Amino acid sequence: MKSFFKTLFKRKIVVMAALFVLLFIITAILAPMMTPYDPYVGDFGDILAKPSMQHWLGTDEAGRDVLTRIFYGARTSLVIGVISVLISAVIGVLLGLISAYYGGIINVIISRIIDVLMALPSLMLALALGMVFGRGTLSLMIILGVSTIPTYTRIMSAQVLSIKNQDYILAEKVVGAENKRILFSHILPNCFSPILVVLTTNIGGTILAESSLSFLGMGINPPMASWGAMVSAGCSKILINPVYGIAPGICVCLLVYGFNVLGDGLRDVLDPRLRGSI
Amino acid sequence: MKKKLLAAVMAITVLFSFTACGNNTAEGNNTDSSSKTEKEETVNEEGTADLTEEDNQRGGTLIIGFEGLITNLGYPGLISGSNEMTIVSPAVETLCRYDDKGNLSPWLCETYEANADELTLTVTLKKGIKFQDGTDFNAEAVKWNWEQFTATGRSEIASIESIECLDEYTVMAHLSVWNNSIADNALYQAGFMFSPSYAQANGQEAANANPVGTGPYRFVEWDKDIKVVYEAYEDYWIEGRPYMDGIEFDFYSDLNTLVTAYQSGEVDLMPAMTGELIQIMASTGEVSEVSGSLVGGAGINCVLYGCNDETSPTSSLEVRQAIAHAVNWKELCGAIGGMYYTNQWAIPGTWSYNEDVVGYDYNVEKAKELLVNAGYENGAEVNLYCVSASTTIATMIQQYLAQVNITVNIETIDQARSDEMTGIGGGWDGLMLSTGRLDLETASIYERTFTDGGVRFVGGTLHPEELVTAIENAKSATTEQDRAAYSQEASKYIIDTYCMMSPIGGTTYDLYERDYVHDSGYLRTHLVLWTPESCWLSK
Repeated sequence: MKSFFKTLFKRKIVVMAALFVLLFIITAILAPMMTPYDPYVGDFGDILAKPSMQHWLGTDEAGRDVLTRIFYGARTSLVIGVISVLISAVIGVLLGLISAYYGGIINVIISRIIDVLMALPSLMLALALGMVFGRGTLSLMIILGVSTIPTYTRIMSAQVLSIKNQDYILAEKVVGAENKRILFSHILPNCFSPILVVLTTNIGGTILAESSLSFLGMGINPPMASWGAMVSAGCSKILINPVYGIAPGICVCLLVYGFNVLGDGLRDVLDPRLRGSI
Repeated sequence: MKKKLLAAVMAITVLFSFTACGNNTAEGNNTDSSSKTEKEETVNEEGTADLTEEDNQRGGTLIIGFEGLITNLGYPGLISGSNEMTIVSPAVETLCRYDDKGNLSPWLCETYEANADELTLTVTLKKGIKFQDGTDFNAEAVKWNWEQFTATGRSEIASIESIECLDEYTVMAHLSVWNNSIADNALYQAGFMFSPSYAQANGQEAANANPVGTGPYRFVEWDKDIKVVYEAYEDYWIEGRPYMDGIEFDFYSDLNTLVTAYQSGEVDLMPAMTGELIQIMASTGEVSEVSGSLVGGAGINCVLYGCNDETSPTSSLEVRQAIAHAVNWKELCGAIGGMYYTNQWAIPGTWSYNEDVVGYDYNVEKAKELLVNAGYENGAEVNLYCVSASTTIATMIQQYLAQVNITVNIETIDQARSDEMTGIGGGWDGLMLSTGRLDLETASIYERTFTDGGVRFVGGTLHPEELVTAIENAKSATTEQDRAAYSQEASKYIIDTYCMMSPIGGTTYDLYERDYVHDSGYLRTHLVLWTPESCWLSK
């Protein structure tokens, strides 16, 4: 484990990325303690105020403190990002595992479904699913989760195909081990490294997708704070208070950048062939 | 020595030549400069002093920056929204215009007479006016325009049973029932006069994209969602008009870009019709040329309660009243900006406004008490439907209602869904945050909203008999006094008795106009009316 972290944090850029992610995680957890303001209650007499000592980043169009909503927006982004990725990872990994291990008609059916999903751009797919499921945090997590399933299925499938005919798996079969045991005790742990890398980088992508959907008005329901929705609202107020739109945008950039570089760092550790490629 | 002398002579000659040239150049510049300045001064002096001095006020193209979009431009009945009516005005004129008191003032017509006893509307037209395609503007043209207007499904002049051309310039509409708003509707809403010949020769679709009327400017092009361009029409029926070479409406989907375009001089005139644009302009220090509320053609932001869905708490009168008491509508109106407060669907200070409407003051305790009485002692949960542009207002209402333990689920819907829910056969549970027309003549608006024959919001509102009777009486009243009394009675039922809607505020506006733009008439008398034929530029 010591060696893992030593290799992971060998490069300063990865350390910086990890710090960004850690900073936002702490912000999300401690949001209520970091600000005296309620993110959902505004002062209607102080609408679209410019940055001041009372409101460091000003207030929004409903008189709510922008900085407070950025703190709570971190919570929204991280929760949606992590849960969506977990949904897609669990389903995608299972589908990849089953299709490649069993092959035959099961593989054909799963592969074609994945082909269909891959044929649609993920944002377009998310928008279409959004029309079906409606708006809301749960819907958003399902939508974003479903739209990234193919990535995991494909990776998992390729990994299983390369492992399932290896001697130690054949040996397990010879001694009469059940498929469930072979799949989850032997194949899955040996395929997990690339999944972990994709999972980390996908969190960044999902946060970006959530922000994009919120920017387009298809994201979470008001009054929940979302960086994408804040960028969208702040965009039209750029001449009144530029910070309102720019600050959440910077947060999205930093968090997505953090997860992407962290994912690359993990890849360096788990796949030595690619080490130092970024 | 000779060489030196020659060199000296040549040097002196060259020096004089330069001096001479220099003098000439300087004189030339001074002359030009002074003449230019004099000319400019003349332009300014004469332009300001006398509008009839053609040389000094002609030319130029007026660029109007617009934040809205249009879908129709050139067919009777199809143009409906204020944006479309404003943009078509350079080419297509109305039978009447409105003055600043909201009264009809003849424009293409000479006189009009609405007769309640004989159930007729008689209009005498001005003579000698031609459409831009060269055909005559006459009684037949008016008849065709009114018929097409009704044929598109519009209800404003549906009470016209038949139309008779008494002579070339006199047209008489026979009414099935008396309707005291018939003159307003027939002479203004349905009073935009398009060329029948052009529409008949080219079809409705072509005509709808190419307005041909009697106006001072001829339509040139409509680059969808980008611009609409007009050029001066030389044979306009008022001699000496128009003054400018053309008019161009430029559409901006982003308000910041529109503001920047105005500030950089790309746009000469910019009406700010939304609170958001007014806020942006105010923050940039721009001073509005015109600011205030309009008597005619304005809009209202309001919450309409879904009264007919038994599963929704808002089907209970006490819950609706609790919601009305729980929101500080005055504060909300001020916070949103671009609005003035009114406690009913009428313009304060006008004949249709009812001073006796009590309304609902901000009283949280009273709201809680009403909720308990309604059986919602543990609070209630309601849906609030709005389009994305109104999400801020929705979150503010949500914040107010949280104080009385009413949980509001904001459902952001697109315009198509909104039209479906608020249209005929539609309906909703909870609250509908929407906009409506605000005018002096409230009975027609109420009829559209609170009666079985209505077309908007009718699925959510109640249609109690006493209200319907008041509306009918207001529409058929033969005296202004009765008309006002019944209209006010209807307002009282809508707000105090049944609490079917809560007004947030009537829309105000700001107009930003460069100082070289004169006599545009924009937003001076009516939301839609302006005077393109009188407008001139002094730049």
